[in-house]
Amino acid sequence: MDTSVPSPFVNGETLKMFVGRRVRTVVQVQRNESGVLAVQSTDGHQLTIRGAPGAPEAPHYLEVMGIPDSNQSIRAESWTDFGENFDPVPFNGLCKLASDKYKYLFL
Amino acid sequence: MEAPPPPLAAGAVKEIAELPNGPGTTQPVLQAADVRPVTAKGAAAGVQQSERFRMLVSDGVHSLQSMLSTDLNHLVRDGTLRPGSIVQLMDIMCNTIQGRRIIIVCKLDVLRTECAMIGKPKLYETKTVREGQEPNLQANAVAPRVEQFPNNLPYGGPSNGVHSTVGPSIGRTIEHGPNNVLPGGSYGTMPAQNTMNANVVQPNFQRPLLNSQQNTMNANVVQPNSQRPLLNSHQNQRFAGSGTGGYSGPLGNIYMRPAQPSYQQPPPAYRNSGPAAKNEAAPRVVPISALNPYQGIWTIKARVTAKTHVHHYVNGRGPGKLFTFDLLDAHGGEIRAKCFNEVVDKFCDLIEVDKVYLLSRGGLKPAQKQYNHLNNDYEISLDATTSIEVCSSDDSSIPRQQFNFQQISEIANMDKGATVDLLAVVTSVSPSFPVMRKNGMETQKRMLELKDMSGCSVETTFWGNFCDAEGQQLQVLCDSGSNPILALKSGLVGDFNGKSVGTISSSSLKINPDFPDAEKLRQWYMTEGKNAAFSSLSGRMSGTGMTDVRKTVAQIKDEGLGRSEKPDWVTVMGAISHIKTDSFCYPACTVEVNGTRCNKKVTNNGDGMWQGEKCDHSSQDCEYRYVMQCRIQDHTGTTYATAFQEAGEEILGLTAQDLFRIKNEDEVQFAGIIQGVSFQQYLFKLKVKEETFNDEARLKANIVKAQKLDDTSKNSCFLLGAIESLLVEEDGSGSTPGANGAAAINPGTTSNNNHAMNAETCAVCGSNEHSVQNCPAVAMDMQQPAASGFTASSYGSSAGYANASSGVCFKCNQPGHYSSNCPGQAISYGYSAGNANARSDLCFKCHQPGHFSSNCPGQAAISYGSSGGNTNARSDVCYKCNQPGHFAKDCVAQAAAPQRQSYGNSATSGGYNRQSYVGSF
Repeated sequence: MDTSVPSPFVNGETLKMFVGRRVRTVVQVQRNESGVLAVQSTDGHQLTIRGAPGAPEAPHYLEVMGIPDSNQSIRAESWTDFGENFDPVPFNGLCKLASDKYKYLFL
Repeated sequence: MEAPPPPLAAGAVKEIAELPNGPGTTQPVLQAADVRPVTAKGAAAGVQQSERFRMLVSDGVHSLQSMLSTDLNHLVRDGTLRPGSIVQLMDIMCNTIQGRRIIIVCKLDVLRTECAMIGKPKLYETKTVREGQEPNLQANAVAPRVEQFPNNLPYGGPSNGVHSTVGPSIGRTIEHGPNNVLPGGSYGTMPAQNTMNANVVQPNFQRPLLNSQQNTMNANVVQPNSQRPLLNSHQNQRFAGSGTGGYSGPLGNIYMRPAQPSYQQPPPAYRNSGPAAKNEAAPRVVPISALNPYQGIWTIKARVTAKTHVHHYVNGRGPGKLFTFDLLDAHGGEIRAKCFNEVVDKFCDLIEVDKVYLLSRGGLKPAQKQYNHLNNDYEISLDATTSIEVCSSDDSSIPRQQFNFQQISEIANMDKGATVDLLAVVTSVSPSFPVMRKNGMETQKRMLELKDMSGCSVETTFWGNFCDAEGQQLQVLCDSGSNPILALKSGLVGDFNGKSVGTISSSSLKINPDFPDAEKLRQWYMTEGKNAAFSSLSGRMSGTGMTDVRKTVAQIKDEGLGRSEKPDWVTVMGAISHIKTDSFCYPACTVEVNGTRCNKKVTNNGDGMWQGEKCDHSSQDCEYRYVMQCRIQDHTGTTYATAFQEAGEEILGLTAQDLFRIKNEDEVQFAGIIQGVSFQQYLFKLKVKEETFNDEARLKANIVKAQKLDDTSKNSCFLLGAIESLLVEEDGSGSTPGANGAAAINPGTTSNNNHAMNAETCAVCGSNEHSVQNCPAVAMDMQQPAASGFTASSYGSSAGYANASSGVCFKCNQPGHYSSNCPGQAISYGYSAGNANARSDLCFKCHQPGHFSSNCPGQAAISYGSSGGNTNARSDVCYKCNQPGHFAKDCVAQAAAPQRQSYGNSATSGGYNRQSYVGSF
């Protein structure tokens, strides 16, 4: 793992603090329109993911690493299909912890 | 200069003195010429007397003695009412007893406390002592009075038909009637009143204030002006109450007991007379509050407010059936009517809730207060002579339902067994699920949460039939997003799990009632209540699925679970690493006993019949049932646990019968099945209990439920909760020393302060009404589909152990024992002195090792069966009866011997060196 290029865990809420920096998030696909994904973050925000060709259809969960170019969109560098059986709630909790007081534990 | 005193009502004393018996119709302003306590002679006889005062009232010319209602005693005591005070009599009751006028002041206003005496009043000589008239008859002066009013004639007049016990007196009354001419002025207004209320007037009943032994003192409380039925009944009640003291003042008589009002009623005229009378005349009904066991004939007109289902029972006299219904009349009196056996058939279909009935005859019996929570000391037992008629015209003066709503917050101070009426918002309804009652019957149960304006919520349980009709309706309403208002009558307060409320058979429910209060509550809930924080009186909302205490395998041993008297219920996430396949099932008896399978072990006795070893049943076939030893493994260790039938099916996905067949037919397939479940993750609900077998304490774990871990959404939240509780711990600056690193959820921090946790915000769903542990989202819904007795017991005990699981004693805050076993507690099983010895593992009776004093063989008296101690344990004899061939648990001699968990209990006394037992597991 390249620790020089950290990719913090974010959810829809904390995404905006990392515009232009690499992040990692998990989202649920809602629509896949030829490579542009309309997704929902684990805390319910509507996001757009670009640059994820071959991504699965709804309602799969995806882990996306990429660079947010605005509050609501991420340019994906890589993605991983997490399948349908994924619980967004703990991930969201993790994001909160990782952006809060326990930031120092995370890259 | 002091303002002049209010003018006294001139001639009022005379007027009062000549008032007819019954509630007074005037409200004169008078001066209290004298106020002094009644010297009760009954006090000497040990009769409990309440303090009473009498007051001499004066209108400046005449004065008259009166009794103050005990409600007014405080006025005298605090000096508001004293000799000289100017008072307005608001509410008086006139009686003539043994020729003396007794005026009882029920209510008065003190206009001025201090005032000089006005005039020189003379004691007014009452003329009520009629020549030659028996004192107890005066009351019946009503009869002629009734005749004065034509309105009353159709049913009031024929007093001759009055009930026989008073027949003679009534008869004479009528003769005397003309003598009893009452001053017309005092009730000059009455004809009008009677006109208005002719149908409701109860012109002719006697109401002896005094008990039956003292019939001579019949005071007649007639309600000539039923225009104010409520007021009257109120007066009646108070009057009855004020009779308790016995007013011995002017008469020097002591009236012993509170009088039970007794209405004596003529036989309903409409029955005996022609049909015309029946149609026209309203029957003479008595108020329910006037019913008593000493009169045989009465009719009440009342609305059925609740009706139970027919309940079948078996007692010493064989089977029977019973149904009851509750009646409410226009005066607010309520009473329960009971029907047994054939009477049930007669009336069961006739009685409908909300209809008005005329009910006459039946036995009055003391109410069984444990079942009957109505405000009445009696209940009616209907018999063959009872007649019930539907009242065709619904009487709107009879309220539909009498509620005595209390705030939920008041429940906190109620005792178990009290009943309560609630008007509350239903905020959640759980699906109903079956539970096993103690008698083996299955019943339905449904949990609701109720909130009201007191800012409290309480868990409410619907049982049985309430689950289906009303429960279903409420669930539909709740699921559709509305918050129905529920009026619950006679809910039973329980102390299970904090405070809770449950339905009983006589409870009744109204969903979205149309009272103004209900509408107010709805408005309140919509505007502010919805977002308000409620404090729950109940421990936790188990209706949404109790979140069991999550433990690791290692914690089961480390925390010494199962050593207290009740088993511990824990949830363990782990995998099965091994299943003992040689004896995973046993042949079970298929005979049905009382509707349930016997399920005891049977053996094939060679001729094709299966013979029960313990149950003596013999049948042609058997059913194989699981009793499967599994090794459960998680990251902290392994433990063996036994899965019985249901859990076994949950783990393997097929019945023991099938698996047994497969095993015999196809070893490879069998091995494949077993292999298939190995190392699969499950959530196990375990019942952990230490049992003593051959004097060796073993921790037995039974798998009560096994849920395959494939739905992550239901289980991963748990981890978040674990993190949260770690954080809470950190923030809470060293709250609990018992924090077990991986122990994840530390229930100690939350479960010890149920109320505080309401203020926390759940990290999982964000609600602030529960913590993560109680989050319905986290609930593993292990209980929901339960179809067995396990559910019932699991709810019972796991709640109780919420605290126990904290790992630290909440009395001394030391780990390793529960507060119930806290060594700091003096009452340690009667041998607290033994603690010193306990350390040395020697019996402190005989100072020999190997047993505790409670099991000391030297102790003849209280042999718990294990007196043989370890010496017998190795030999193959029963250590109860010392006979070979069976184990102690099968010993026939054990019938009455208490099953004492000797080690379990001893360990609980605290000081014993625990390590040595842990090693022997």
